Amino acid sequence: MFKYLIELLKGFFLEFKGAKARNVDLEVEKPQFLKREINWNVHVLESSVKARVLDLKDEKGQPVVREGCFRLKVETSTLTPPPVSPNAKDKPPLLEFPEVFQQVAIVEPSLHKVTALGTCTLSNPSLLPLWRKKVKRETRVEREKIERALRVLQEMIEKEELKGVTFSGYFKNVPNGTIKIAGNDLIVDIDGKNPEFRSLMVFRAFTKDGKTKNVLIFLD
Amino acid sequence: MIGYLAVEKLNNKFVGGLLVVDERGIPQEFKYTEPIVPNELQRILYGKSLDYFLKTEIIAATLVKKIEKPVDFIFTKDLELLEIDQRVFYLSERREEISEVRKISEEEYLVPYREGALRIVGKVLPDKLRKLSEMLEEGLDIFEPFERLEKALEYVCSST
Repeated sequence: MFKYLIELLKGFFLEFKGAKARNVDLEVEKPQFLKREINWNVHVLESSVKARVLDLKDEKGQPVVREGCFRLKVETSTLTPPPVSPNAKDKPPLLEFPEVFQQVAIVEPSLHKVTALGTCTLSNPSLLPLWRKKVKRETRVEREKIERALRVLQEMIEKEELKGVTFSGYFKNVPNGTIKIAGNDLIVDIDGKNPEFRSLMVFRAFTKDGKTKNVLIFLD
Repeated sequence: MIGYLAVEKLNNKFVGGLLVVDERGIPQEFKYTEPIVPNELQRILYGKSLDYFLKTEIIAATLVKKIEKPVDFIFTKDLELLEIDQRVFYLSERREEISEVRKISEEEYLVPYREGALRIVGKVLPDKLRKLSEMLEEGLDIFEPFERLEKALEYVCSST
């Protein structure tokens, strides 16, 4: 009973006095306001693309071609950088536009010329290979020339002691110069630009001491 | 005088020469071209026509134009070079023995030469043919200067 009376008194006082309250200052500083005027220039380019559409359907086993047409609208826009408001002194712009680097899209190619084939003409009639003439052995010899050659050969055999002699060949139009015997032919390194030409009979002589030598008998 | 014309391809170098000799075979004039080595791009661009074009129009025709001595004949062993000038004749040796000059066709002749015959292709005038026959009878070794010409071209190619 006593407890009940105490609680009743507490409730009476609360109602009379009210609940405890704390004072909160709600006033706040106003935020800084930066004004930017932004002008966006938007260029709208319009173009249209026409496309022809053919629709092929098989209706009741018969092919039918339907033709339609539609337009495709293409919009493109470009942006220009906003001018900075005079109120925004020393303030960074809202949007920073990236730097644009200009690059030439098509680099002019350097030209290379493929030269047409050509040649220079040089002149040199004194080249060594031109003055080395090959003289071929003749296949026919006049009787008179054989007799003359044999007379010379006979004298030679009498003077030098030879074991044997063989016939190598008869050559016509042999120019003056250094003569080499190459197989059946003569190689002549011609002396001078106006050499004399002679006929030549060649024999091979074998000496008693086992050596061989060529005997050249000029007939002209 | 007789001219000898040859175009050789030696170690991928194209070189041509024209040797003029007198009746005894003594050199009177020798003209040759700088060796030409076509580059890879030129080979691609000219294709299969490269060898023919180089031999005829670039080398042989240039040489014949530059000749100074009066020649009765310009002999070649290459049939392709016949077209460049009317003075150029194709020369080859035949084994058949003939006793006199024989006309095989409009532009082909057989001339007695040693134990066989010479085959000459080209338009030869009768007096020129007679003159050639006489020179051959006197013992002209008609093919021998070709050997010297080829050796001279080898020499030119090796020394450049």
